[in-house]
Amino acid sequence: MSLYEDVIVVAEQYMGPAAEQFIARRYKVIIGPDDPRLLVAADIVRLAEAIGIAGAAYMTDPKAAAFKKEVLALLEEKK
Amino acid sequence: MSSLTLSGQMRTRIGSSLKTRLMLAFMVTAAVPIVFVAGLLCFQASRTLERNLFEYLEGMSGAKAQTITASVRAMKQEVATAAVSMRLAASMAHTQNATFAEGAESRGQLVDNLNRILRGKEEFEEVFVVSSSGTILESTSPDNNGRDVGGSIYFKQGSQKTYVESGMSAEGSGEYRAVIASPIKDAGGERLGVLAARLNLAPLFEIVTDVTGLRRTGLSYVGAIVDDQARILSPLRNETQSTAKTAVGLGSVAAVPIRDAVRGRNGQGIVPDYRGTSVVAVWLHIPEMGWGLVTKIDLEEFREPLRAWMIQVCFMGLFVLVITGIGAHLLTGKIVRPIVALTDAAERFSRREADVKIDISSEDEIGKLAASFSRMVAAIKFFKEMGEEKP
Repeated sequence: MSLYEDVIVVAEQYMGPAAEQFIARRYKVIIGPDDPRLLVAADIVRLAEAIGIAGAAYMTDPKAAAFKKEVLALLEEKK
Repeated sequence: MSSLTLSGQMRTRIGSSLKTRLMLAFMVTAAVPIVFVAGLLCFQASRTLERNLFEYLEGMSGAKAQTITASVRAMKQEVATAAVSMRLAASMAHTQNATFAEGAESRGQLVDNLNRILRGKEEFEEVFVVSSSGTILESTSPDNNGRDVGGSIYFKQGSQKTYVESGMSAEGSGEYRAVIASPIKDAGGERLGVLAARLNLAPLFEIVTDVTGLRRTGLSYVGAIVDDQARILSPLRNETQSTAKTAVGLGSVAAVPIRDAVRGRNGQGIVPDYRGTSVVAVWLHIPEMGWGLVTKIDLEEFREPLRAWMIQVCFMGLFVLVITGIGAHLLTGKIVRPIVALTDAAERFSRREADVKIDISSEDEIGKLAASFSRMVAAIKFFKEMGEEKP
């Protein structure tokens, strides 16, 4: 599985059917207009930061923090 | 379901209702075995106490009956032995055959013989000799000399063999008395008359009325059939002497113990006594005297320790229920709280409140439901924002 797919799997736990679009939107805002499937490990930290901030609008702060933490954990797994 | 959107009161009602039902389920689950076990223990304790008490009363009654029987037999033996005394027979024969002039001397010898029999024996109140025609020749109670007792049962039976008669005095004194009579025969075996001894019943009644070990309401009493009634003869507890006034009809349904005992039936049971009060009683027939012996303890007193024990069991049961109630309250609170929170969130979200967030982090079914709901809310909010941004 690619890093992008891993992020989507994590995001589905928190955003359900909106996971893909939520990640695409964060990618677009933080990294650029490219295809989010081109996500690389170097972008993960910034993306996770954006997820933590934006996620807090849709869920409780602890849950948003957990979301961010799980995304950052992917970085460790990929190492 | 539409009524769910009406107010917060509905939420509260649903939550407390579920909690109440859960608590009730916990309490009932705890209470049923407690009640069952307590009931079983009480029943077993009651049966054991009852059995032990019956055995105890039976032992006590048996001992008293044996003592009375042995005493009466000893007295019978004593009268029979005295009746066959050659000296008594000789003085009696002499008295019956004496001329008027010799009479005083021979009668004096007879009285001496009777007094010798009576001396030192508190079990006899009076000793007397009856002629073959049924007249009292001499008595240790001189007032009775010359009295005709030819119609009495003890005279008729006592002319044949040693015999005990107990019953109301046929001489019209209205007293209950017991007489042992034995035939007096001369050296040739010819019947001269009857030696009779009127028993002092007080020592026998003392044996009966001893209440040692019979607690507060326990007592023993003897009765006999008098005038077609079962009449209690011995003094009852706290009485100093027999009144012989308490009587029960032999066909009566009350006073089962004395009614049955005087008719020769032994038994035991929880039955009404002569007062109509329920008692734990054991009753025996004493054939030697024709008496019924009853030993009883009031049922109420018998149940006192049982009642105290039951109260203790009830308190223990209540204590366990209270502890269970507190535990159930805490446990159901823990179960119901996330459901109430979820219900609240769902209701607010259904009322288009945007800021609906749920913080339930358990791993159980409720936690999974909350996570699903949370995902659904996040997705809807996100899609809604996206939709609003498009134009």
